[in-house]
Amino acid sequence: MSEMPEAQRRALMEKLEKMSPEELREFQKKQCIFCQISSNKVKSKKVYEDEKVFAVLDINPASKGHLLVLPKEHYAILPQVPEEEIKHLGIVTKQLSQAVLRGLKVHGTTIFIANGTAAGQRAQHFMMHIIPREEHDNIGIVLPQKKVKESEITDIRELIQAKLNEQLGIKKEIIKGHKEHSAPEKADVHEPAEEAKPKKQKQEKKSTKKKTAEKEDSVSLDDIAGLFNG
Amino acid sequence: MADCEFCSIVHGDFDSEEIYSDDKLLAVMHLKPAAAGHILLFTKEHHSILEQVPDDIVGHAFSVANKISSAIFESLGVQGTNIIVENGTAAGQQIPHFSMHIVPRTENDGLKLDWKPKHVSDDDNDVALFQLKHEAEGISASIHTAHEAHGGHAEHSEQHDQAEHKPQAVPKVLDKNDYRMKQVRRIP
Repeated sequence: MSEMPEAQRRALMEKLEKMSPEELREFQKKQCIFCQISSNKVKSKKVYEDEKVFAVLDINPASKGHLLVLPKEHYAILPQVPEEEIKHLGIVTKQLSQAVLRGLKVHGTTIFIANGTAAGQRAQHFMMHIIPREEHDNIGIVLPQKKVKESEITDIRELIQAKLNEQLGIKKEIIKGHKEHSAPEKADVHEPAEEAKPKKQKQEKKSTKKKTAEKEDSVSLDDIAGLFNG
Repeated sequence: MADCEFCSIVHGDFDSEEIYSDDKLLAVMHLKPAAAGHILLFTKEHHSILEQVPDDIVGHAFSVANKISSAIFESLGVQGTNIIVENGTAAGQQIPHFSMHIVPRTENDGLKLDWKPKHVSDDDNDVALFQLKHEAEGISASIHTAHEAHGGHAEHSEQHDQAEHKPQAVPKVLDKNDYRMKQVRRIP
């Protein structure tokens, strides 16, 4: 939009301003490069595709093999994506991260979601990034650790939690770690499904379960998980 | 796991500012936040990296991360959020227990969470594409089979989370003044 003459730019801004949210979304959809990639109108290097989501190589990658995972439907930001699709996107992202670790033999991945321009979102189509990582790759994305007063953290926690509980329709007792249902899916967990257990209830070791997972994940995942001990 | 920091929090051996808990996940305030309101969401069971977390819990975690992110938007009046998984030490992961960071963002907050594009040759790109496609081949089928085995999708995590039965807090059609629409308009 920056190359447009001023008058034309202003007219467009006015038009956008007058649009209803539905019209705006339709307008965005038509302009959206990722919608065109999704429908194969624009060429891309697609790595994965199913009914709901697809993944392509980023044309401006942070590193070789940088993937974008997107819903086929046009959503601008994460809160607009329906819950089932968010879950599916998450699972596909996990599986593709595994494909990155194995296929490219890298030692880590950064999963990155930006919601809003302030967070670095550039496209109008929601996406998740999978960035292949190596030690000392200088890619950045480092979260600084700031010192903050405990009382400040408590104040902010209360603010966010009040809103979250309102959204979830949960009463205050969740603060105390109220457990709703324990799904008794693991035979080796001594944890009968009962409600309102004290928070301190110890979960027994699930080493069996973990071992199986590691076994089927073979070499690279073991190596990567093992790096912590080294 | 014995001396895992997050497991200690789950077991209540370690004080924390808890913000969300269900039978699979726990979210607490980060005590050394990148920005005010930085939250850590992790599995109650010990899994070192994302790939070791079972699919249904991964899906549930992304869904809860979105809800927390929405609550941050609305309660703190920030302009954005990042959801980040540092997966493996090479990606900056410090504690060997899978977690997601949810970081509130405002314009000019000084956080440098972006990256510079790197030039990758066409040949390298094609090789990467080939390798990734090859590894990704069975994914769709494996997810599909898992859904079948559960007798539908994701009902497992819905069982224990009342919230999931509620309509999403986000209406399909958003009001013009809704912060999410403002966000959409901001994106050039």
